[in-house]
Amino acid sequence: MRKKLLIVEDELHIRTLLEQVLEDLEDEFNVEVLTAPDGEEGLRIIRDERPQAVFLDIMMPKMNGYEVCSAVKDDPELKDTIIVLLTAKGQEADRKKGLEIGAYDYMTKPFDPDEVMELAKELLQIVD
Amino acid sequence: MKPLRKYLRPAFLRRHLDEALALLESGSYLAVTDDVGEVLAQAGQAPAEGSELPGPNGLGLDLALEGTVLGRLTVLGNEQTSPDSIAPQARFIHRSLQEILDRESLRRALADETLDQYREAALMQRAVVQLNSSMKVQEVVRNLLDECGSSVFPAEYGMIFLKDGTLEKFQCLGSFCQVGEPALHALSDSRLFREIMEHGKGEIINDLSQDERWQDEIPGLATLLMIPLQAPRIALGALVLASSDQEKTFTAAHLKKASTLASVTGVAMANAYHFEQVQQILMALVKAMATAIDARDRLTAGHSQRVAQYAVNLATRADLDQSLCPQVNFEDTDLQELFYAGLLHDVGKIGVREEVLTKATRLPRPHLELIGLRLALWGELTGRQWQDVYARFEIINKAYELSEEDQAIIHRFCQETLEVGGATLTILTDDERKRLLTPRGNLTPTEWDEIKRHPQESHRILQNIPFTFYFPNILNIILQHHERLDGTGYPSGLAGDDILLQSRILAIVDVYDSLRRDRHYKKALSQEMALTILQQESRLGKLDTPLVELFCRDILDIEKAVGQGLPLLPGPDLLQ
Repeated sequence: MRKKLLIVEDELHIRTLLEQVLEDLEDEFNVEVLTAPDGEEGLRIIRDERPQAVFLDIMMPKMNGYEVCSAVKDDPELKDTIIVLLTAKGQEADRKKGLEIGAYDYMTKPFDPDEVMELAKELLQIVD
Repeated sequence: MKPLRKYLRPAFLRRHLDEALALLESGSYLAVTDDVGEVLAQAGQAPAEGSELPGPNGLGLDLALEGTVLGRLTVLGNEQTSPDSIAPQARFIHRSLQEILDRESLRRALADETLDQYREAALMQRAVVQLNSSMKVQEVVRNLLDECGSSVFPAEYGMIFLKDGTLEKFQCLGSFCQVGEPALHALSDSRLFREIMEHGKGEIINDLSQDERWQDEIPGLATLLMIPLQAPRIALGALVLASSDQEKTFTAAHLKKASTLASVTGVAMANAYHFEQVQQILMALVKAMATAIDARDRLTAGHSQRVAQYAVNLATRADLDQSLCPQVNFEDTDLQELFYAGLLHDVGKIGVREEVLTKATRLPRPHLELIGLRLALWGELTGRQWQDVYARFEIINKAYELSEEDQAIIHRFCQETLEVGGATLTILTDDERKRLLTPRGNLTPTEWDEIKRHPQESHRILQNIPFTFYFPNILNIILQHHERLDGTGYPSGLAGDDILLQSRILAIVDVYDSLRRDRHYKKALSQEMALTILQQESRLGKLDTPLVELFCRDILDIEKAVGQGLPLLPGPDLLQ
């Protein structure tokens, strides 16, 4: 089965950059990269498309990352979705809170592309 | 260049073609295929399987980037249309797709640039933290190698060379490959190495066999990346990465990354180097101070240096021997602190008068000669042998300990009198008697008090030197080095666990070294005798028993390690 990775990020350039990094996994890992520009749309895609892993920004309009994360973790059907939170640099409190509500890991922006790649591979291996 | 579906995502293409289809007569067909003819997306009435495309009533328009055809848009009209009649719409749809393709390509190129910057920034950040985490040159080198070994470089060989200003040749400070010393020298002696160092810029050589500067100095190397490491005015070095696999070529990105690391490393090395320089200056000053103190008295020359080294040797062994000394745990900085404490423990003797410090006799020579004159006169008058008595006094004057017979003679000559010009003199005055009867050594109680002040004097002299940042206990270690476990020591009469472990170590090695050398009041003892005395002192509860036991057991090694340099402290130059 083709796996899916979802990027939920309101800032277009960050979303685009992340997408470009993760796209490199598409062929090797038979994975599709999906994107969403806000939390609501992100949650909808999580419900409809059932991605295995989600890169989720915290600060977003409409529905922030914590809310999306909590909604996913509270839903018995979705709770196994792996969530990686994206935080602005230096906001350690974000990280702690995120891990408490069930996020798998967190990443600070601006991110290291190599690190994102490694993390994504790790997630795909967990899914296997 | 990537395949077409990376630029024009199939999901997007399907929507786009669906909408474009509305521009055409019903029954038309649109498809985008990639460079091998696979359909990425299509809309409308698909033609029969196997039919020739675009066919007589269709159009095929190439989608290309920078002259490379990545795929094709196929537009088919229905049965009634001719290619000419659909040409305007077809060109419009084509142009829109081509435009999206161009922009997508540009966006990707810009994103790649940005990602590279992110990568660079992340690397820089990591490198600054990791490489600057140590103030030791050797550790900076290790960190750099770890970074190179763990990251994207296609290298099985990694080496770092450095040359100190004082050295002729480059030395390899670290590597992550199995290359012998001779091969490393051959590399740093090669023309390639020399010329890159002279040029001062990093280089990639992806075919070493074709490079005339390379004479196969390390056989089997195929590709190489070398970057000079520069720390201004100090050290010159190089990072060399290499592979024996011809396929593992280095790219401009690798060179850039290595340059970033090299520049951070240069700063880190300069820091570490300056730090070590300061340490060395401090060390040299401390040694000079210790030498100056020891030099006040020729018999104590080298004493402080030996005490420092013995103390560290004993402490190291105590740390290792968990059965004899289970509580002992010394870190490297503790050992350094102990070393400095050893060097400086007698600094306070600078405040002790030289005549007390070097006092060899109970009475000064002229004073004894005066007694000799009295004896001679007494001999004349009484007709008794006086020369033998005088000889005896000379021995008593220098003796470390007095026998009962000696004491009897002194008492006797306090009674012997002499009539001179109507006055009656005793041969020895009361004061002379007291001084000659000094039980041990030859110092009077006042003089002893002066000597005993030296630990406090050391403390007073050193307290304003900001050692405490590195060595929080050094002043107390020095202050307590004459304390004894049974409370009979000085200056404070501390006992038992109130005395620092380091001070107990210092006490043992200080006593030992004093016993083993000549002093003004005694001859040097043999090793065996000296150890026996230490054991007695330990039995009397003055010295720490397990430590003395360990010291006696390992004395050969503890003494031998002197003169082998000071392994714990920054060496005389960068390369140690």
